[in-house]
Amino acid sequence: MIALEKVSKSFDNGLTYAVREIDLDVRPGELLVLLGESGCGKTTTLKTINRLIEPTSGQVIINGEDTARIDPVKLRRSIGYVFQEIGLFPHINIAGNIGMVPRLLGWPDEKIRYRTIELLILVGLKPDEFKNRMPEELSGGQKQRIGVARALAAGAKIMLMDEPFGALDPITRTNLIEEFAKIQKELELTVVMVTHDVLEALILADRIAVMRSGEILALGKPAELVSNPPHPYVSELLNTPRRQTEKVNRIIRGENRSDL
Amino acid sequence: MTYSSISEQLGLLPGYLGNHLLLTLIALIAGIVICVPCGVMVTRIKSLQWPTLTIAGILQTIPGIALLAIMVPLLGRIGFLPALIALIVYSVLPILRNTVTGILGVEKSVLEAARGIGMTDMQSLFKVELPLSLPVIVAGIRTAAVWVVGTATLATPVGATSLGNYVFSGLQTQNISAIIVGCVAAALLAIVLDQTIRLTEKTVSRRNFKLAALTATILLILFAIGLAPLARHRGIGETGKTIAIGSKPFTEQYILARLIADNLSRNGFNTDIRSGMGSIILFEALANNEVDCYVDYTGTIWTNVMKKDHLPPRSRILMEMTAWLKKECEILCPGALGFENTYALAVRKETADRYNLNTIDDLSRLSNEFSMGSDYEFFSRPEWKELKDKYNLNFKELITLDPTLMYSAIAQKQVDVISAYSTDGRILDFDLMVLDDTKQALPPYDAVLLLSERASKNSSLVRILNDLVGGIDDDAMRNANKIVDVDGQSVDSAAIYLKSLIDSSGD
Repeated sequence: MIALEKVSKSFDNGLTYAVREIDLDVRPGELLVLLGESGCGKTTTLKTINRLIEPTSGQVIINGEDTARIDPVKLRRSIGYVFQEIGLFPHINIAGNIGMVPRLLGWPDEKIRYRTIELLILVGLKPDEFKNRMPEELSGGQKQRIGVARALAAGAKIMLMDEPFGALDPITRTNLIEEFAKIQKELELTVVMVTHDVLEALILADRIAVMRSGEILALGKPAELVSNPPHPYVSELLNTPRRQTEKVNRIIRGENRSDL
Repeated sequence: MTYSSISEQLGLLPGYLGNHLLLTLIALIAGIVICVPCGVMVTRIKSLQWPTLTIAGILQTIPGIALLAIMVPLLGRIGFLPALIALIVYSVLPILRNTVTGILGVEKSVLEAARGIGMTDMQSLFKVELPLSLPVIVAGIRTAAVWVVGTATLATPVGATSLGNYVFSGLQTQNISAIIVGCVAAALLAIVLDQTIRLTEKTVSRRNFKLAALTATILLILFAIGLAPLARHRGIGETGKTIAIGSKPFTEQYILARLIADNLSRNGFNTDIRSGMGSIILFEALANNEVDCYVDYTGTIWTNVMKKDHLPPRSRILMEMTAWLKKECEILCPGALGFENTYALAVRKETADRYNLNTIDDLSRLSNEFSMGSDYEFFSRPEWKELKDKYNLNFKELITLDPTLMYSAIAQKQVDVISAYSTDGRILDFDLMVLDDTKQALPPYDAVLLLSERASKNSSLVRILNDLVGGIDDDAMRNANKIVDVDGQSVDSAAIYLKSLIDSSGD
């Protein structure tokens, strides 16, 4: 559904590359996670898909069409985009934020109203309670639910998510991840998600692409990568949650901190 | 000093306020229309940012009065237009800077969202960036509004009517009521305008369109009331076009302008007094038919306009000047009014007694111990150089003062010598003594009536003004000046006094 072919990006005229010759094939309905540490190029890779960043070389093909030949504004309206800072428009109420893309697309008012209510229900917020509120009146978790609703508003089948749950507290985060997984399956969304959180990647991903220094080190199903890591770095990275859990268990059992 | 009635001053308010409001509103609207798009452009083209804001900053450092003054030679005319352009320039910095700051201050995440969900650059600008930076932009507009209202009071000397007319004429004629009315009106106007803009922004950003409509209606009504007197003033009168009468910034000139205006309006002309204008600006305005009539002095024209340095006898000067004006500028000089207002060096009587001073010559040996005060023009006039050279004057200090304050300064011994005007009633009142110009360094200053080319073609106007020629002698003028400067009466009363003198001598 989405294919990256030898995508490279340099921000300094070829001196250094943020990403280098990335090849990636995202299948319809799958949730693919780009996993890696800060600065590994995962966000750059994600942004080449909706042309927020133009690749220096290489192609991005969506449904068989080279995105370089699609008007970037049209392209972005057909792809949902959710990111950590959310970026709700602070001067527009919730209904207005959700209905923004349909409005840009010129949908009739009535249709936008129905769609807004439908989406508020989908992301688990009571329409009557929330539709007229302003973004500042919402909690972090509620805001990101609106962020997701806004990305889905125009019926996009592709979603790009850049650390969407990164700024949320653990409980909110867990709930939201579970609910999003449900929505994704229900709507059969094709999702590319960037995260540095290994646990989140393992729980949500159909496949994980582990990135380091602008390249994809490994690509595969979570279980495969954990049981059969193709590279020591992949093994170290993917085993972090397990090691942390063991530490936590030992602390809970009352063992001495210095033994850790 | 007495307080002439406030209510008399309030009678002038509709005209002054209307002009001030018109000047301010047009300048502000033009400022917004020019600067907001410029500010937006500058946020899009980063390389323009620094030069644009620097130029705007430099323009802002030019003092308001200098900016107004420079517009006159730049545009080659006086009145509304140079004042308007100077005020627009003055409104640039706050509006431009706040537009740039406001737009650059929009959160990066919001901008990324706008782009990420598929807004075009224009949609991002109009749906996101401008609405979010509106409070900052409006704050800039409010600052500009207050500045423009204040600076517009300085438009009087370049011939644009404003509330500054109160302040300038009040200062010259020691009319405290005029100054107070002018200041209070300007302050109130600034407050009303500032709050109006604030209210408009609030209603718009709260999307309370009912309230916005209500505010807009109230505003329109207020502005209409403010501007209404102009419609009446500018309207075509029975005799057609309004006659513009100029005056320089001192008492005598205010009185004569009023006298001329009264004579003309009694005969059915519409008149408009452009008071408190600079000497050269006024002459050029007359030559350009922007002012129709004013009173000047032979010596001023002789030395400053005709640039002559020799001094023939009084009658020759008048004759040659009249011919020269007709030939070179098509300006008509119907004749001298009958009095002379020369520059004269004056000292305190007690100083004269102590040092035995009678002539300017007596002063030369003592001049390095004295300080001298004079008006805005004298030290830059050619006759000052002449005077200084002929008598070898070398004062300890030269101080430029407002003509009104000059007299208090010498009375309070802050200066020892002043360049007084010979018709000034205050020479006697302040117990001063005029020193004789034995070497005839100072040219004669016979007051003459000057008419623009346009006005000189209007035979009934020329006939009316001819009645004034030879009608005012030195004593009459000195008394009229005294009525205002010493007795604290209004300019109107002094003009009426002169009128009655002229009428009785004509009978």
